[in-house]
Amino acid sequence: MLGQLTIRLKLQGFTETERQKLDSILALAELRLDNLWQIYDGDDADITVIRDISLLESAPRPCIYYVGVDDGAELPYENAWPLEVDEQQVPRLRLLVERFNQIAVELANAEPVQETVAPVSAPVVEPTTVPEPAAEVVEAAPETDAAPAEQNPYAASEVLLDHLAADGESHKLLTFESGEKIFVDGEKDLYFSSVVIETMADHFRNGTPYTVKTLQPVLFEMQVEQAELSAEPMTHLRWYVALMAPSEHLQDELQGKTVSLKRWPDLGLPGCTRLIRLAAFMQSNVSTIENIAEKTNTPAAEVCAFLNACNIEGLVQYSDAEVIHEKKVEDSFKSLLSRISDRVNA
Amino acid sequence: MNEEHKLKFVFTGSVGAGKTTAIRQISEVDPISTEAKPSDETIARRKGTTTVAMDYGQLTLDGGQLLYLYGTPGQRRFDFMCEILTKGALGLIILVDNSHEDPMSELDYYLNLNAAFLRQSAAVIGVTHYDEKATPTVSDYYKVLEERGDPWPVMHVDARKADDVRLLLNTMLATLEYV
Repeated sequence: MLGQLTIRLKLQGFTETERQKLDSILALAELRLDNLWQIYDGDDADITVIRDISLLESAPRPCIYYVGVDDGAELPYENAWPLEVDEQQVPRLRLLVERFNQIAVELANAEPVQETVAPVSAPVVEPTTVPEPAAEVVEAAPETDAAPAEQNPYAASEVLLDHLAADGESHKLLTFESGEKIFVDGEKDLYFSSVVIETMADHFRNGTPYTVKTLQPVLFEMQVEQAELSAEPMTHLRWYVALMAPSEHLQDELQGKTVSLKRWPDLGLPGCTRLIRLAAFMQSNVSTIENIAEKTNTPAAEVCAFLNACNIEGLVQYSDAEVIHEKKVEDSFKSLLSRISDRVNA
Repeated sequence: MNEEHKLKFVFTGSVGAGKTTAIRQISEVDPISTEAKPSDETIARRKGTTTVAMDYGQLTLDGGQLLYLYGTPGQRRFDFMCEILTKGALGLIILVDNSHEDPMSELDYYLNLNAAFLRQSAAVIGVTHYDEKATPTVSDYYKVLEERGDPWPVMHVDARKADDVRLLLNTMLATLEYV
């Protein structure tokens, strides 16, 4: 059973009286409807309700259109549902309840209005040719070699990260070839996934192709709830994508430059456990990749991956000179920390 | 053994933040909890029982040395226990319930309460219950810490997951080594 969602109805061609009638019927039906249906005047309504069937051809989808009870309710149009009304243009309560509950289920299972295909690393994203008012045109990502390396040394997986960006409005479904799905709520900066993201490491590393579908918010919520997926902060996903993306080039591009972290990253982020000592060192020291690798006993490739991920979070800062704050830690204390670490991680 | 000479980490934070649960995930013995029905009505609605003196768990290091894990009581009237328990501790793990009505003031409160201890030792901050309430974010916590001039790491943790508790302790170890 879906949780109760609010579905917003935009009325088209209604008189004030007809609007009030529908509003009254919705109020009466509220207890028996699986979701909350509301009349709404904004441009971002979920469904349009058409008073005059002659407007149906040009009406935005999805939509509901009035038909007379005696005319018979047929379903000749995709993403358009008839609503039976009497001669006073009043929807029949029982029929409205049945129809609206049915529409909610169909919307939840409906195919999204647009599909694009994009490989992770070198995508050519083309919008479909069918114009849809609610459809989002996904822009092709900038070519990664278009900008000089000095200006953008962290370009890996830029396109996927663009799709995961918080844009304040979009709702998307990303599906990888092997079936893993990521629902992206750009409005709330959350994601929902059918699998834990660590299992998609190879996709992020190898640039596996994926499709992108734009969903209307109400469909998005329904599909997420139906699949019983829970929300995760998008920062986690962006972090992990950047951490897994190819980043070895940073070693050359940041050669000789000294870097540090403005603050700690969220160490609860996926893949971060092995990087804790690196984070602690970089948070309190300014150094080159080579020296960071040496001081923390971490492979330079891991330092690069960590820098790439920290850059996504805006945590990397550059300085003119190396500044090492050697914390005075006695060998016996270091040994104790090591023994505790062994026990904690046993 | 005198409290001051025990090898120990202390978990602190408000009622329901997950201190007892966290210690239970990692301790090699069943933690000894001194729990009772909360006297405070608002707390009683959140939890059936709450710690009134301390929680206690342990880990045995190689060579047989014990590492103690203490949890402080969450109710404010037992705050005096913090000073006793942190005496000689290696570090302090502060758990903040993100679903609390004002988690930032909770963080502020526990940092202030333990200010003397933190002048010479380290803290790690675990944000719990973030699945119930996504804000404030980790970045918001860092802003508060930056304003205070505190360098401590913050992370989301689920006190019911042993891996998350290990993450807190591993971060504490790295902090003790480098920060």
